[in-house]
Amino acid sequence: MLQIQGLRKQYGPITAVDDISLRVDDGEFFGLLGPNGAGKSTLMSLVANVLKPDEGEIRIDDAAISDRNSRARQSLGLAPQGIALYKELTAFQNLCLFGEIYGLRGTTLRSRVDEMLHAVQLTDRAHQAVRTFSGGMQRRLNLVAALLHRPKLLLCDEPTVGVDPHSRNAIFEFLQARAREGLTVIYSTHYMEEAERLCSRIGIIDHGKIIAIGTLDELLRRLPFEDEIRFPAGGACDALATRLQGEGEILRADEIYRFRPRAGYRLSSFFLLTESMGLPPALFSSQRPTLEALFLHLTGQQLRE
Amino acid sequence: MSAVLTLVKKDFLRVRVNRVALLLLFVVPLALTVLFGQVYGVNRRDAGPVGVPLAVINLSSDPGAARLVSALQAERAFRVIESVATAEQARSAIRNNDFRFALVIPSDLLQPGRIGLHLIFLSNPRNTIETSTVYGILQKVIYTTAPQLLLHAPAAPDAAPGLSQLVKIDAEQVIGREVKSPMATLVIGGWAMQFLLFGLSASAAAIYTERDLGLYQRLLSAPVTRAQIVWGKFFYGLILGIVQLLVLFLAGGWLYGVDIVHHLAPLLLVCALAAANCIGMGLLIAAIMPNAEASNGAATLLILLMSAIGGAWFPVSFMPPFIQSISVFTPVYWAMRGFEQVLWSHDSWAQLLPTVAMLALIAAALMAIASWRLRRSSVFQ
Repeated sequence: MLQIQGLRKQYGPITAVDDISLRVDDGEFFGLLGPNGAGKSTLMSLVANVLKPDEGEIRIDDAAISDRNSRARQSLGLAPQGIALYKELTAFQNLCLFGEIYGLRGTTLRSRVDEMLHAVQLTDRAHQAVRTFSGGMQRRLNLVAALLHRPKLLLCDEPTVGVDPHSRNAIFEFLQARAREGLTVIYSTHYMEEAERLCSRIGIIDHGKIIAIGTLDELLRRLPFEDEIRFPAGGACDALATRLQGEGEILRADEIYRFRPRAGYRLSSFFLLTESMGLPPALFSSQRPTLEALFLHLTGQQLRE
Repeated sequence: MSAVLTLVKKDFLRVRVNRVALLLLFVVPLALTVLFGQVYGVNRRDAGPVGVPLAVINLSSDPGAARLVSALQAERAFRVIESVATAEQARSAIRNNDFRFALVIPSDLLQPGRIGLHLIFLSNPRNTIETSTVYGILQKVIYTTAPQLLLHAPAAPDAAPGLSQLVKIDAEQVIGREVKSPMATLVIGGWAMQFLLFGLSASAAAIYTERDLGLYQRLLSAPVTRAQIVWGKFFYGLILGIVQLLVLFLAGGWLYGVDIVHHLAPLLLVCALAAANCIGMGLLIAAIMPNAEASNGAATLLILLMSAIGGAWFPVSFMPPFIQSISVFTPVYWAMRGFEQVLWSHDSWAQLLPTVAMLALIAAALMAIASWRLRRSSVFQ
């Protein structure tokens, strides 16, 4: 579906996208995960033909994306990070306008608009100005405006920023339903929970480079530990943390210790140690490592920085 | 009270970091004051018109007539044209807009048995301030020269000389005699251009609102090119401008009796070209400026300046020569000229052609630069 080869984009001295090559297959739900300023939106804008790359090539269904190639651009839909809607116009007028841009006319246009409004539960607000909508409603409309022409590839640039949990769930369910129907989605986010929940494959981007790519399991296997043990800071636990220094990674944040054992470290050793120190098992919880842990491991910084 | 002081401080802090606001508050008014001072010759000792073309047709063989011509040539307000041979030729040249004023010195300037001078003043009073001033200066020159002329006049002992008998000027309006509502017809073009410039500059600045909302991202990801967005803005402005101008002119017809109906086709053409210039100007400003605020500030500065220089407020002929030479590069000048030719002089299509061509040329230049700049600017990123 999408092939990116040697893509580079520079803004003066800043390299926003640095030699990215990527392949996204038909029907994939691909997550682009990275902190703010990592280059996610620039990469999205390059794929959407909003920006011109300094180097490299982007192909959609084997057609190079460019101003002249309207077929390639007809294949994709972009839901920008901002609410890219004419707020003084109604939801219906907005959708008709964007549908017409893609060449839809007459009853086809009307039925697609009705279908999209229904899909995001905005039928009863169709003829009200978008400026009167809540943030979540505007987000949902922003998303479906990219799907009127039934693209093969949907680019979602952080579509849940500032959205309430109800609308967030509605957006997730809508996207998952479309993905089941065969839509290829590239979903950029800095929320690891979203990437974990939605994406079949994830690319982690930082400083304009994709630093890791794979399924969630593949990515987590790159961590040198399988589990993370958490326990409260203070008292005897501080002594425990000191004794664990050589056995793996130990981090302290928000009065919680997080112990990530080195490869080959036996958990039985850990519990023997805690028992000898008189620490009750109830103090400890074991958790599967997260993408955040992976990001921290790969970059040395928190994902939400 | 301390809350009020804090709030006052807050507003000063905000304005201090807003360069555009500071520019509009201090730099623009100062720049305009300096420029308007230049335009209106505020500091000139000899304020008033300079070099207004005045054709002088001397049909008299009297040496006094030559003396009058010399006096007119010495007057800096006039640039005397002596190449016109007859009064009829002068009328024709005025109709062609070669010049707007002519003084005919008839063969009977001074006659035996009659006291006083007889002169004919031909005019196209397309600008009432200009015409009144020119006529006033002309009278000054004539009255100053008259005593010397009359010294040479043949004696007429039985006639008692009165002031009204000394100089008799027959004023003849060559163009616009049949115009029903001269005042409204003459000023409406200037008003219309200013409204149009403000309206279309604002609509061009809306380009930034669309950018900030991410609408260009959506549009450019669709089968839409940057050039199409620019030309979409142009045609929107063109249609809006034509409609706005026509509404204004129709209101002028309804309220003040300006004759629109009989000149609709040429008026529509001039309106379309004036609108094309205004939207081209607006888009060019938007292409050069970095944001909506800066764009609006620059537009205000340019509109006021162009209106002043272009003659929307004040006759161009009263401005210093170098300002007059700049004036012809402003769309306001040519649009005003076009409206005047259509509504005042009722010029033919052939006579209108140079004006229309100039408007088209300026619009094409503005749009070419605006389109080139916009397609490469950060507006679409």
